[in-house]
Amino acid sequence: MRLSRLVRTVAATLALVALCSDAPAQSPWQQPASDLASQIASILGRGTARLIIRNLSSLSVDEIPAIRKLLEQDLRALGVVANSAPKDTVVRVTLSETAHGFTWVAEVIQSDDTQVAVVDLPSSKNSQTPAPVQFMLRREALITTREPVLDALDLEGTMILLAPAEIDVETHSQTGWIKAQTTPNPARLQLARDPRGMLLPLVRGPGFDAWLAGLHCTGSPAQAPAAGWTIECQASDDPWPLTSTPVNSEPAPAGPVPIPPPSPPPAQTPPPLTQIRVFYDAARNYFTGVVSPSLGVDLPPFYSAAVLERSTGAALVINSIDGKVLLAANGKLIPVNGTSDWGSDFALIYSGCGDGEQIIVSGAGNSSPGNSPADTLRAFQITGSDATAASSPLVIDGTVTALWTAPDSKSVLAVIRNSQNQYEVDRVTALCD
Amino acid sequence: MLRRSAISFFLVLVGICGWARTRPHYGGTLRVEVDGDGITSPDATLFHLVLDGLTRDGINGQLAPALATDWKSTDGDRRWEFTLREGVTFHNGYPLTADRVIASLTQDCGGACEWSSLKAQGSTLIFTSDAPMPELPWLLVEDRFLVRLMDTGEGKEPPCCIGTGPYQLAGERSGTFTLTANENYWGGQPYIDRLELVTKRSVRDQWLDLSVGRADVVEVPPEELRLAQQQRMTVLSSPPVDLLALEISTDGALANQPLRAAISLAIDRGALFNVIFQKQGEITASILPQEVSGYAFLFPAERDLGKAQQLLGGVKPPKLSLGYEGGGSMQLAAQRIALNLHEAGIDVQVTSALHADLLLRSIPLASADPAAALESVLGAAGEATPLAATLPTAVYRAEHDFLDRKTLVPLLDLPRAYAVGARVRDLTLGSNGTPDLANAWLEVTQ
Repeated sequence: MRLSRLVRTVAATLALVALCSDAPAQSPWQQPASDLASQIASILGRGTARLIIRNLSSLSVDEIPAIRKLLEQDLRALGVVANSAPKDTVVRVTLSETAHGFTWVAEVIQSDDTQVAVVDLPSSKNSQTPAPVQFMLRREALITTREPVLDALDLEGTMILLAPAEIDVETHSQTGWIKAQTTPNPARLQLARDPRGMLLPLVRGPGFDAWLAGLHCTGSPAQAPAAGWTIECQASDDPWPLTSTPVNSEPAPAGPVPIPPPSPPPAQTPPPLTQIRVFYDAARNYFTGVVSPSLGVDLPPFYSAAVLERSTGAALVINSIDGKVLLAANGKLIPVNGTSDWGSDFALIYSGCGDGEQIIVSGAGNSSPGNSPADTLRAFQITGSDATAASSPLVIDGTVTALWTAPDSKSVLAVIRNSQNQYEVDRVTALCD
Repeated sequence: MLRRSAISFFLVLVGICGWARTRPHYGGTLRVEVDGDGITSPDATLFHLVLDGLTRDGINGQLAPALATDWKSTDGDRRWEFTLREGVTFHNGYPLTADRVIASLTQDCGGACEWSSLKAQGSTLIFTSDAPMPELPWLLVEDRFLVRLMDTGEGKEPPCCIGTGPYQLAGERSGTFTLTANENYWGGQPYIDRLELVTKRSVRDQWLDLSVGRADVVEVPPEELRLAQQQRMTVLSSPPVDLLALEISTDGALANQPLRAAISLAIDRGALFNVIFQKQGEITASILPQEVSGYAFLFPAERDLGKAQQLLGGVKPPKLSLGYEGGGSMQLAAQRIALNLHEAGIDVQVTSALHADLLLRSIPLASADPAAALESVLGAAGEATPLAATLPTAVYRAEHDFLDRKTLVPLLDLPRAYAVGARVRDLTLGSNGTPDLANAWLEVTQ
């Protein structure tokens, strides 16, 4: 690794430690001030100098006295007495900035000779959190990572993260989630450019099922806790389950199967979902339209689907790849009205509010040149073939890259690529009025 | 300056917005038009689609893996090991091997490689050198180190551009290259099935084609950015990625350093910025933009005609020739510089020949990393010596010392820009200003 990057990393780490520690607060400017003072002193030797500081960066002017104080202290420790206003030796420090962070530049001016010292340090200006929102939908951040996440599963103190190239097991500690185990997925090259994957808890005991393009994995904790998790993957073109609850690995029955009408769901209690499985196109980012068991109607390829339990049987809502939202029910395929602002991803939620079940839908927010992408999440109810908004849009600071119903069916898990290009897994729940 | 850069950055990030967020669609044919030949750097659009490097520019200018999955250095950066990605094949089905990468890289640097030895050890490439090579992973991002198949085993060099990239060359006719999606691409199959790259198309014709739907992505030169926005074109603009600079020979009368310094001081960058380039980009007297180095303000860019005349000491130098690369605005800029120099007492004849005493050039900034970018520009200016150290102060000193010789006079940092059609989605520009066509997709026509 390049030394300058190492210096930046060290500076970043120190800055973060300083910001996050419960110990007496250490200034994030301490290390860069020390580094710059050291370089200045090596140019100047022992003596006196007039210190001038100017700010060309986005740093607040309120920070400058603290930076000056640190520089003066560090220079004094190295034998340079600053701010005594001699005319012939001037140290002009410019607080500058690049696209990647702050840069401090010292011009050491002695008569006609000027020498320069430069230190890089990371900017903390991107650490702003999105403004709180007050909507019926509520977001709760579960975990944030730098690497892409396709789905997450919270197994009581253990978080499983499904990534395009690996499955991570994270354990909870007092300081947050810590990566305990990483299992690379078997090397596969023929991935879709926009890969997808899903996780479900096992039917019996702790563990999970994971579906990726052309791959099925299972994981369970080893007998000895210290041995970690046993994760096994195998190539598979089997269809993915369209449910958030555990599924049996047994193959679905062949041919069209009449779906019995379920009992109306009692409030707050998710009904048992009909186990429909859908085939995923490993070279694309969508489901092929072939479902098992068959619904008695040909479906086009689609990005997302949700099974609605109705008195007349199960109905399947899909978002076809040409952007149309369709309802497959009673052997017919009809368009759903009121979906013009729906994005590609949605997931079913049993909130207990209103009719009990809603669909949480992603959509484009108020993105425009000059603003970061800001998607939205919004709850809709489907009555007949009409979709009506059941909540105000919840604005997301970033792009929703995946949306799956959580195992409890009462919330959805949203994977969001935020404005800092980090991947955040959020639990989204609906608050009833 | 930063505010303007931030706006550019967001323009790049945001791409084209205003529709409900949807997953990308696969399929379709995209037509791209360029003024150049599509092959010659810095607009080597074809190569960027067909070939991969060992490393690449990632998000936010960070270094990212490409054909190499990881790398590490030992012996004070004198020895580097790069591990090749497994299972990658060239477009003709030949597997990517360390030997094939070595053949390509060795050909690329033509005997003047940054390393003294390159060997294969299984799927690992081992670069060694007597001098430290701290910037090697960054240097390997550059276009000149893109990997292509050099030998098909039939004893003859294969046709142009068999690589491992997201698109493969299917044919060429009258300057139009047809490319098809590489279904086996290690980074995932691109969304758009087919690309047509039309080369040597004038900007005026490109814009006409875009307006009637015959093109989807066309170029917007910096000096035309304002006009494109006035015409309500959807424009993607990069941060400054090209350095407009005047290269000064050291032959003849120009062996005299004060004369070169006088030329440097006599140029009115403000006029170039305001008049020729329509206030696009940034005025600069440094090689690295402020966004990259953070210290560009240390290099004064103001014109000082009095000092220039003082350096000449009343002696009129012989008439000099001033060439320029490209045409249009570069010719106008060269004429403006000639006028500036005439005002200082230096007579200059503008010529289209490239072998001239002074040469106006556009030099791409090949990297977002300060040391690698500086090394790249110095290399382009004939200074092939690697930097001894990459700490910020050392990079500044290297740049300062080089500019002090007055053989290269930085003038403007310029962005690259493209206008895109209404059906193009999620097109962004890389940190080097290249359109990322492999991640773009086309809206389905209803």
